[in-house]
Amino acid sequence: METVSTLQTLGLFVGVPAAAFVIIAVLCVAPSWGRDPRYRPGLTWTADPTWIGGPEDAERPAVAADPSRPALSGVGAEAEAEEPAASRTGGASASW
Amino acid sequence: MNGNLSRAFTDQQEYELGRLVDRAREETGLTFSVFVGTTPDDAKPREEATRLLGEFGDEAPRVVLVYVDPNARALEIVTGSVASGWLDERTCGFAAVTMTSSFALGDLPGGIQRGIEQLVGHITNFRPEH
Repeated sequence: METVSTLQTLGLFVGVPAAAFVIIAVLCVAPSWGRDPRYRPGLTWTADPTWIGGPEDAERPAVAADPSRPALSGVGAEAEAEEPAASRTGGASASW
Repeated sequence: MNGNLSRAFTDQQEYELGRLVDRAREETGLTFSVFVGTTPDDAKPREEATRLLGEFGDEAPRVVLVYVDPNARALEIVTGSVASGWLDERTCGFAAVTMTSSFALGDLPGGIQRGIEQLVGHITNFRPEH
């Protein structure tokens, strides 16, 4: 009969299950490591502020000043004449 | 896992939203802008959004600012004086509902995209030239 040392016994009955446990756990968690940053409702949002189309975007005024865009011909003139910039605003608020 | 993000969007998402606001400006003549961030403690989302609109200076009347605070779960659509002539409160309110219904499912870029498309669609549908 071959004798089995205490160390081998431990390795077989503790080490192997523990290793299997760790491998399975890693397999479960791994997919989210490479995933895109994503908002999840209820979790604290710590991302840097992002401003797309903000006032510092360099190429923006070129199109905005394009006079061939007649979209706002009717409303613009009188509205801009009586109000300074951004003094009268509209829009909507919502929460989720 | 912990919601610890350093960036709000991936490069791809940011690129697509950039394209979206460019296209919206070309189609409507209004400047569409999207801000995603946290409101300072001493301000309300609406105040902060209005302040950001003011940063556009002379262009502010023609700006449609979509302000999203994921922590406060607050969405503000702020329109300058010219833009509000094209987008009344009702229209903005509908777009806001479109956006927040996506936000509640965790889809920020998709909600922003659908909301802006809805606003642009409203303007292009009612433009006299069309």
